[in-house]
Amino acid sequence: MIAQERNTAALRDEVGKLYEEAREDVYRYLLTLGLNPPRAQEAAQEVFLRLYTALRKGDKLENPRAWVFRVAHNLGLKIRARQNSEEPLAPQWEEQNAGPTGNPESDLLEHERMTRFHSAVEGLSEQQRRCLFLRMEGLRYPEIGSALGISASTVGEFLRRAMERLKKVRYE
Amino acid sequence: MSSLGMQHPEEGQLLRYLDGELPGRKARQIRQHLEACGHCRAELEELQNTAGDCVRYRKNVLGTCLPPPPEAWQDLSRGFDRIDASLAGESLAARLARVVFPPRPVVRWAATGAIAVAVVCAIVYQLRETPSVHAAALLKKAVAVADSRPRPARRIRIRTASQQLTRVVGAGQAASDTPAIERLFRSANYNWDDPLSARAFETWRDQLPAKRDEVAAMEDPQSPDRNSYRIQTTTDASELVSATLKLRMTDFEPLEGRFEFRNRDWVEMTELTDQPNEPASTVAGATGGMSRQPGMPPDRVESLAEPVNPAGVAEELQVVAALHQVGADLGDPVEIARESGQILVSGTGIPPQHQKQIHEALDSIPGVVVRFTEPGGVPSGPGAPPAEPAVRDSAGSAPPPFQARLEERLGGRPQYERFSSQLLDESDAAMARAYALRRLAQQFPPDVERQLSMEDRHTLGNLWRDHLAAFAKESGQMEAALTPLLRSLGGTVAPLDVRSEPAAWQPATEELVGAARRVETLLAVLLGMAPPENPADDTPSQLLAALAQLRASQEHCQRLLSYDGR
Repeated sequence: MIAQERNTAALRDEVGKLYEEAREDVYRYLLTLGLNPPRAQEAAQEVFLRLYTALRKGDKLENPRAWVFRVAHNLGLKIRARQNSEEPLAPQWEEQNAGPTGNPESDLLEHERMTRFHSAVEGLSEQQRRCLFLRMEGLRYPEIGSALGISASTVGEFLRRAMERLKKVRYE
Repeated sequence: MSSLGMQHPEEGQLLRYLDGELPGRKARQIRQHLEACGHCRAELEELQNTAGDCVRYRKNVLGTCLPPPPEAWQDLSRGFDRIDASLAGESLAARLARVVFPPRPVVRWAATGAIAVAVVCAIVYQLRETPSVHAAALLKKAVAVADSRPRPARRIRIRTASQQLTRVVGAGQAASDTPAIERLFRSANYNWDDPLSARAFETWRDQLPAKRDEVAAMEDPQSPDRNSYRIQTTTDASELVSATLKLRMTDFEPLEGRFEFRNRDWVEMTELTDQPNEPASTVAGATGGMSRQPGMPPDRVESLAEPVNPAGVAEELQVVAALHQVGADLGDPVEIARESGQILVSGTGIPPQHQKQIHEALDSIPGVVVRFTEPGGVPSGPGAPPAEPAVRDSAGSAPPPFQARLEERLGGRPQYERFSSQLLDESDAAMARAYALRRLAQQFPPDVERQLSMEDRHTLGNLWRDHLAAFAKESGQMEAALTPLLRSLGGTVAPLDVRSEPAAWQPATEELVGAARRVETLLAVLLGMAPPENPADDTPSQLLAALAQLRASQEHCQRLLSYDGR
């Protein structure tokens, strides 16, 4: 837990470290929300400034990373609403260079599987996808629930349904 | 049964287990179950594989295939400086307030509530001072209040000239069940995803080039909780020519809406409230909403909470039968109670789809209140249980006493796992029926049953017959599978105890449930999930005797059923 009484320098250091570690994750999450890259990057930076403001005001945060994603989620939705259109989540497959294993055959299979997996993720409901992406970022069910405004048990149910659908990708 | 770790985990529990989201006791039970259940181990392995896919997807797809940030990441120092300067410039009072009342996480909700109350107070004041308050200002405030609090899935009742239905909004549900109504709203560019909301109303209203607003404060002296603001907007510039929204004064919650279209179709919506602490309760089947005819202005809000008739035993039976139709009497945490002339059906932690089924089954029965609540969240942070290895490595530990012998007789470990898994399934199904039977016996004891009409007694008899037949099927399969095996393990059948048999089905049901629980307990011992009751370890004989007793109890129940002629 981040103590309220830390001095400004320590808070700057703490937020700076989290910024280094998590900004790419937050940026990616905002892309999955449908923000275009410039807005996603701008919003990701804004989120960490808001974290600093909250800590400077003495807010006690159990889990700053979860807080960051909750704020990113809400800010992202507001920005998305102002965008003329929602940016599709379109991975640039053709730009992928060397595969993860270095073995062309294995990499091809993995690529095909991930393509199917991505299609399955796209087929999830908005809520299921949101729960899944936040879970991938390491948030616990109550933290995801807090970000999305739903109960932890509902998060569990959305994740269960999401996993049921994603499981089937392995057998396609 | 769950205390013995035998029951297959409910849907979603394996995932919660994998995610370290179960409380310690429950996690231990699941771990214990996994040690004995190959089916669930395979299920868990699939989940682990899928979780692995998620990790790779995040790393290899989201991490490398999405567009990189277009600019270099900013150094936040300047932003920090700006914030520090801004905070330093705050008023002394604000800074003092933070020192005296340091913010805590829980205060956020109190603050939200305070903001909501302040907004409501301001609006009330404004209405009193300036009766011609603008609809736009009211809607703006209502949207602000709605945005400041979580918005869980909720149900709205929709009524048109030709149909009435209930729809769940806000949980990602498909809206394809109401295509005709949806087309009407979409033709007017009115948000169909959450139509009974201030935001949807405001968005529609804002796009109208010409419109006329009326705002009125509606007071209900009988039920101040239902005091409301009524906003009506009419226009010639949309397919939707008149829309009316009622917002509760206390919290700006949308209560009702009425929408009139150019083709003379009309749609009314009423928010159905499930939360027990909400001011308005839902009486399923009671007439709700604005019942006026199109074009006739309503003069006051109708109460949604007037029971049609005081509900009695017969109505309770009707509820039980309706729940039986949707399988909600087989282990769901659904309670039925009679309160103040109504029948209260409450459930905790019921999945949304099943909630919808239950509502559909009960909403047409007068005098029934349905309330669902969510169970308390699992504590997070340091208090949460750490994720533990899914299955304990049993190498080196002695197998339970009968397991090795059972494996040998069944032809190997895989066969044993299939066998035990099937037994556990049958035992679960049988116990679900046994508890449903006991619930009937407890809800309708002899003195209550006598109050029922012949027709209702027949209905009750049919319910009992259904459960008993299903129980007999499951327990018969268990007995057929177990008996030869138990004999091969040295089990012998002793003569049954001579007991006086109950003359009524209610006490006979209690005996049946007791016998079923005895079988369940001994089955747990046989499969190594519970320690033997005594050192002599005559579990095979005890289980054979318990199965025989169970069969005798069940046959007695069936005889009572046939004597009764139901």
